[in-house]
Amino acid sequence: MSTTGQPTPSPSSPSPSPSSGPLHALLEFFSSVKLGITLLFILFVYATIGSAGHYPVIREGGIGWSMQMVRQLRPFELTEFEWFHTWFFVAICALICINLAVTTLRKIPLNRMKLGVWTIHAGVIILAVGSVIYFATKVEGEAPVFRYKALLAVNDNQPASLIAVPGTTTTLESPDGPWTATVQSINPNYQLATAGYEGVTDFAITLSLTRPDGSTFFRQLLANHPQFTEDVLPGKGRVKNLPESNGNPIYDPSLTATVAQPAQDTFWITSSWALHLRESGDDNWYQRPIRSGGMTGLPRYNDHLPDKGEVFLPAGARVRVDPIAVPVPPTQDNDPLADAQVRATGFLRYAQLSTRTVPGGDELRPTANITVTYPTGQILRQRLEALNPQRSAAFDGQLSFAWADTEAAFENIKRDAQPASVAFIIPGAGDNGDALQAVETIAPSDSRAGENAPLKPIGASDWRFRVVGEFPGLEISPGKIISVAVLEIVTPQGETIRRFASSIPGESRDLIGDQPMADPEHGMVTPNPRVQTIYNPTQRGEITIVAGPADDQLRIITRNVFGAVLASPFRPLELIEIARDDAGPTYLQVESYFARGAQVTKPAWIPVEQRNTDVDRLSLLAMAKFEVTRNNETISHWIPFSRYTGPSGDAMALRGTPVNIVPFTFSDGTTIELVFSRETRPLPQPVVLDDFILTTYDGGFTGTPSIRDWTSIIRFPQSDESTDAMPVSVNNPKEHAGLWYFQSSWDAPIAPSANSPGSPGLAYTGLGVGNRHGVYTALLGSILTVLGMIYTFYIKPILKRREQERIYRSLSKETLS
Amino acid sequence: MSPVKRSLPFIIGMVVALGLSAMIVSRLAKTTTPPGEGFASRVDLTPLDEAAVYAEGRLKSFDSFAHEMMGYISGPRRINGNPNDFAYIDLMLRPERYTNAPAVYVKKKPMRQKLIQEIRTDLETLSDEQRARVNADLGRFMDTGLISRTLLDAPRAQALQQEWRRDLIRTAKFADRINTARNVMEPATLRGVLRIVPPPTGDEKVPWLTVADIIPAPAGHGGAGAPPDLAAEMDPELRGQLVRTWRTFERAWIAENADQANAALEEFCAALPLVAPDLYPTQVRLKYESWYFKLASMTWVWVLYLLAVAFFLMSIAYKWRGAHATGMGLFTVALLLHTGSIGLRWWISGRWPNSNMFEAVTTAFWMGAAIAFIMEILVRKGGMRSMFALGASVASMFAMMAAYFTPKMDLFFTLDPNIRNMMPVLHDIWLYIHTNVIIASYAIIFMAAVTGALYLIRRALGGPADHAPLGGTAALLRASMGTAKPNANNDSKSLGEVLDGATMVLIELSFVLLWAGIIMGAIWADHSWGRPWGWDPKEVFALNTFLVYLILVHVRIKSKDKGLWTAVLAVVGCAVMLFNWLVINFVISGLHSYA
Repeated sequence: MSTTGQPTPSPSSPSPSPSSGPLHALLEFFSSVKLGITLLFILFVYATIGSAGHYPVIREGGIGWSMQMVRQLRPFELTEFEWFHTWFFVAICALICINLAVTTLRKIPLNRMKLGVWTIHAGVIILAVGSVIYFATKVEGEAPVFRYKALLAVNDNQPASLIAVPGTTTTLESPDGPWTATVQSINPNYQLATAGYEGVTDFAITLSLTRPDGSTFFRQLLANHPQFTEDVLPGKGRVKNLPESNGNPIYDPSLTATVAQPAQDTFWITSSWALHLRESGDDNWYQRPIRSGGMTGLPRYNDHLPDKGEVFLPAGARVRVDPIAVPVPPTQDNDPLADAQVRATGFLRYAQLSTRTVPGGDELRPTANITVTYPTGQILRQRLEALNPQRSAAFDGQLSFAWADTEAAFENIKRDAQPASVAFIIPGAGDNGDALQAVETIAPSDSRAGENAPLKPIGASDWRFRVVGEFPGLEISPGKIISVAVLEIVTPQGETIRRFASSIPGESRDLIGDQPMADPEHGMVTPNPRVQTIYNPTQRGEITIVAGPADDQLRIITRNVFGAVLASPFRPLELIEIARDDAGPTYLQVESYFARGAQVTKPAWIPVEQRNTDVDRLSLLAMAKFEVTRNNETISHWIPFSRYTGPSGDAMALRGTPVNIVPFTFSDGTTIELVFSRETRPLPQPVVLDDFILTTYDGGFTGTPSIRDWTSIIRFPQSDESTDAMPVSVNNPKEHAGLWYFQSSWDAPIAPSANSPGSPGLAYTGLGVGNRHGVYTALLGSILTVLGMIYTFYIKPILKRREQERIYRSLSKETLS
Repeated sequence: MSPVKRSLPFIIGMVVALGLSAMIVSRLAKTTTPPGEGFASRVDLTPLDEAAVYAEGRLKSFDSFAHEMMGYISGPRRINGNPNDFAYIDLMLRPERYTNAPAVYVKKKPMRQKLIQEIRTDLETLSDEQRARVNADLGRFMDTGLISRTLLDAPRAQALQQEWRRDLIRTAKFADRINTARNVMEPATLRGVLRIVPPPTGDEKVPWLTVADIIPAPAGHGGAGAPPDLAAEMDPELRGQLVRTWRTFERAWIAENADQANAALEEFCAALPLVAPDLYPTQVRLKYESWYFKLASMTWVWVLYLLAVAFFLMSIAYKWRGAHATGMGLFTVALLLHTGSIGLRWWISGRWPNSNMFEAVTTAFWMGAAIAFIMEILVRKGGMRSMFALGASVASMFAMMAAYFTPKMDLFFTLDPNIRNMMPVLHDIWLYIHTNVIIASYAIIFMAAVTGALYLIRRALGGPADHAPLGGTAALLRASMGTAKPNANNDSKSLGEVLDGATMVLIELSFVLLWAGIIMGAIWADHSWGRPWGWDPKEVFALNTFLVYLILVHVRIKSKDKGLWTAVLAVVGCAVMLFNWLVINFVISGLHSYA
């Protein structure tokens, strides 16, 4: 820091030294404050690009709705952490340190006035050293630790274990055949009811056990009270209460079940890829870490397809074909594929394996991709499969797709497409005083107009009616479906009957008064006997596309506004007007059609706007294609990413992170199972979870905002030092054998759903695991910088001022003298 | 000049300041609580407003609870112009009146436009009169953002919401928000979340009860399958009184009998604390919480800061001492009110207010203003007089404007004034140390940018390339120690020197605070997340802000035009700081979840 006009001689500057030459020039180069400013500026720009540099993936209305970071671009493929560890970044930081050290040593005199600057600069160097130690050795990961597992065995057969999370299941061997054991439910706060144990709570596990003969019973285990283990028979209750048991709580003593703590000995490394493999039947997994990011590693953010035909792409989507070949060499002894070459040849950031019908083959699978284009320009796409009941209709059944293998079948479909009708029987209104029988078609125009529709005569009588509304397919009680048309029937005398005409005889009702649905008990009465009605709803929606009998034959069946059924042939890509309003016509188009196809399973690429950000962030729907070459035989499959592996992975699968095991079967019969997951490392010592405590604010647990803290009571049973449990809570990590353990995630209660049996939660804890070498060095450096700043800004001016005052005083003394 | 004559401008200035403040405050404090009309103006919900409601782990006044809940429904708007407390109760008791009432808030205008377009195409089947009415409703919807359930249920509007739900990135949140609003406005929801009765057991870790929870099950329904009676331990007489008065209140409300409703409600609310006197928050706190929200968190104090800025600028431009005194007076009153709002919030929430954006912004600039006030006392005789107060006034004005206006606007960020519990990770001593140091540095950075910007304006207007020769605290010391002989007459310094000096004083302070704050953040992150530094965008941009000042202090050594470079980099640093605070927090962090 040379300042202009300061006479203080610099210790190393003027006199020609023997080192003048390249070394001197280099030293001069590094003694420049301007160089420092330039480097700091470059650092600023680099950091800005890394943290805020992004460009829109989806742009609409001038707004970038979905962004991709520059660091995620194809050549980089870097995480935040990696962006700040590139050679370029390291070089800039190193140059800044050299520049700072050289300038300080050569240009800044070490005196009282410059002490602050020296302290700051020394602090920066120490901070840099600490950071190098820290970042060079950094390991960061996480480990789920479950509270309990059940150990089960039938007689003396091979025992099996089940982690205590609702839904885990296993089979138990026995001479009579296999048993099935499933964790039916857990209760982390089970209140003991036995006398003498009031107020005591324990962790209860209820197992559902199915014996080889198919009979089922339940067993309840209490983690810390094995003496209260008891069986429950479905429909009968606790076994000990049954008269025949004589108070014995155990129904089937051949099953022994105990509770133990599952020790976690592994943690999963953040932002890593690895392939886990084992020979089918082997219990042990072997892993091969996969290099990630950059030009040569397995990508994280961009899709890399070996071939366009590898994925199902939505219409209009474009994905670049960009094959990769990332070698995945073995790193462990006994790797079951040690003799084989493994490579990753493709990557998809967000996709799901999907089985679909594609053209080709002999099997009859009539499939049509249709679009409906509205006057507003909105386009809806739908894939219809005539012989697949789940996919044969769209738009609430208004559009359906059918296959007619004969002309007679086509005529049947056409008949089903007849519009809805009402059959009337009016006693005494026919010729000669007979009953009048008439079937009146309900044209779409009638039912749409509702109460404004004109009254139409019933048959040739003076009776008239209109349709106010149609309600097809109402489920009035489980399994009982009726269709109802709401009619207004006007008698020749001018009275109006409001009739809820049912499709089932005897279910019709009349409505009295003006309160339609509000008071059904009182408003609805047995129908007026002067007119009987049966409502026949239509069997098909407005539009039916029929394929067949010939493979390439397509016909469309529609109803016009008057209810007439029309059928006409058409070809794929033809625009068919299906409706028209003031805004214009609505068109239907069959974009593609085939009658015969084959089923294929491939990854389906999911458009960016349909991606869930949390799923994406955790790469839960990423997948990679792996190619294994062994004895001149090459097999490749897409393998969806699994967040966890091994037994913990199986239990975590029930909390939304499935384990996807893909078998590779070779011609010699060998089957190797592969899992695409994260790199795992062994914990120095296994950890168990003694307790998990949820602390709430006043008012108890009523959702996430009511949580005050989470505390995992963890213990290292193999530790020599102590077997004491350690509480780990938020902001309160604990160290053991060189690694730090943090409270990271928890097992929140899950409501039962189609995908999950539900759980009261608290069955495991998510611990963050990491090391932190060099932090005290960095801290020391940081403190020095702060002290130096305070000295420079607030102490130095005082010192300088005093010095000035001293000089002025001596000057004035001199002047006086 | 006689002492009286000399202090005359000061006295006049102060009188003007106090007069203006009194006028403005009385105006603003009044307009924030407009009463309802008709029945709404006749019912008195004050006893209920000051009753405690349990919500999400916090006990709050009903008034602030209703404010928060209605925010889910009508956003920043009021349904039928009624206050939130009235709207809550009325929606709960007379939902049928709201079927056609514009009640659901749709945030973005383009989304409103799309809904309107769809609903309009559905209008063909309506009569002319109906169509005209719907069109009028749609017009108001475009302006206010409030739409009725009936219109949201129009078939095409339904189809549009379905379509919105499919696009998770662009539109799903709008459909979800509408859904949330509709769920919240269901009477069953409003009743179910109104946990207003303390648990009779007096156990503080047990959820509070709703009125439905204390209504005894009808005779014959107490069998084995019946839900447990949560209020079994309540004094039967008290329980009877609560149930009876609440029922009377409901019936009277439905019948629009305001007098009877008021009497019943008062009796009901008076009985509530008796259920569990130890658990019940003090009436004073509830009263002030209600009052705090009725005063719109006092964010309107920006008007006073604005006036102070005007007077400070006048005093600088015209060297008019009266204007300076008025500015200082206004600034002082604004700071006092600002202090009041911070203190009130502190007391109500039971914690220092710095755990969400609203609190961070209002507290940061309060600290800035307080520091400026102290500095003004230190330099009261020097040339830098009013510079710090000016910087703080501009900064606090913008901060309080953000707090006042953003909840009402469609911006990319909103400062939400509702008081909530802190997330578990925030319970740490470092929250107080790190966060306050950082946000104080942010406020000072902003103040430095104000004096820097004034310097640049002066240069743009042809001012000379001057700068404070000593810079920073050195200049300040010189002014305050006052014994030095050279340049003793500080007033003779040029305005450029003064501005540059003030900028440097502020930059030095923020430089140390920001750096120390970053280090403290690393210490906290180390024991909370397991890493002192993880290159998170917020961390990087705090460092980036510091890098700008690092460049500044070194450029000041090398550059010839020190004043210019200092001012330019002070403004750039402030821009980077604001980018971190607003764009990184509200935009990039959101994107970050995708990345």
